[in-house]
Amino acid sequence: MKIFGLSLLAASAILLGPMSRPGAQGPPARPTAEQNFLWYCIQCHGPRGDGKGVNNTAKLPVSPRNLTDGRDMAQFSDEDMTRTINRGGGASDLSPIMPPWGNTLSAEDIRDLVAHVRKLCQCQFDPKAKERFLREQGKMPAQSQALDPMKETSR
Amino acid sequence: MSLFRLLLSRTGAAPLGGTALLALLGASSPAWSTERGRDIFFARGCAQCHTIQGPEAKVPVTERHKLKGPTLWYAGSKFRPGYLGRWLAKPQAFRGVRWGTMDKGETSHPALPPAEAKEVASFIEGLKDPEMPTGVVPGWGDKLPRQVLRRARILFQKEQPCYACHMVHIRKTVYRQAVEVGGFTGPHLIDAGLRLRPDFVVALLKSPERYSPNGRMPRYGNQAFTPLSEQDLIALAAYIATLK
Repeated sequence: MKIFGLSLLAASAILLGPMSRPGAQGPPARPTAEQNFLWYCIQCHGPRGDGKGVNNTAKLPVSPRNLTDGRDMAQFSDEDMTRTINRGGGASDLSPIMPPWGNTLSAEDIRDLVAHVRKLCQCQFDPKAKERFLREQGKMPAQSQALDPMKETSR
Repeated sequence: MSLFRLLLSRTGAAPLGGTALLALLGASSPAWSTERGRDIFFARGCAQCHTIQGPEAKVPVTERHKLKGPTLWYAGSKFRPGYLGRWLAKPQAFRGVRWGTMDKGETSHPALPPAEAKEVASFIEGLKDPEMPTGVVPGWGDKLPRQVLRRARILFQKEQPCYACHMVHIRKTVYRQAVEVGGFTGPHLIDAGLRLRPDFVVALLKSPERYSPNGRMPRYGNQAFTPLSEQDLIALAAYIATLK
């Protein structure tokens, strides 16, 4: 009886095994951020993310960004990165050569990609870096030239 | 029967045998040519790399490198008549990277003898997508209306720079000759005007999941992240049709 019970248990485990395994019967697993990076982003940013992709030719108006440069990448918040990947470089006042991927990748895929880029640059968002970058680009007036609102009103 | 005799007398009679006769008859009859093209397609092993059944299923990104060649199930809706016949006799790579990789170089494609190339092309050109709308892009030819050309150039070169991945020859006023610019991962558009039907370009941009579910191209269309209007898509397709 004990043997019968054991064999019944084993048989049910074999039968139910594949069904009870999580994800075995469900939809195919979502690709990881690295897999998506190595299919889509690799074209311009290169397999290591250093901007040395195949499409980085001398005649491009801008070079693809080196995603491993932590000092440079610290200027972008997660929100900036998500917007750039979703809607392209033009949406973040960067080069429109970076195309929009919002229709191609899901919101979860893009969230994972942002985390992957953070891993590549080994950096966190630094507001001071953003300020420095904007000043270098001439998109933000230097502090000495900034208008004093009080001066304006006193005139 | 008289046609049969005439053919025999013109080909130098019986010693040539049935093959030459079939080839001659095939050349004279489009339906026969298509049938022979189909036979050659399978005999030459084209089906080992190219599928002719559609629509193509979406494959996970990790498996896409296993796809050996582009699908041909809508080739007749995509290519201009006559292009494939010329290309199959003298194939030249469309991309600057090897198929399925990011390595610079060209994937070689076997060439067919001109007669066979014509017949295989006749078969492939018969593979059409009945659901693809035709007559979407007006027949402007090389003379685009000024506003359409301006909008297309802004889109192609500035707003959504297609040349980041697709190599093109752009003629600028400061250069005497056209300048070659562009990336390597997408098929080049240098002779796209001779190669692609403009209606297909619109269809591809609108429904990439139908025509290129396993490609690397970002998806455009009239959606939230890339608001390209119908006029934009038509302008782009008409502009690409002028690239020769």
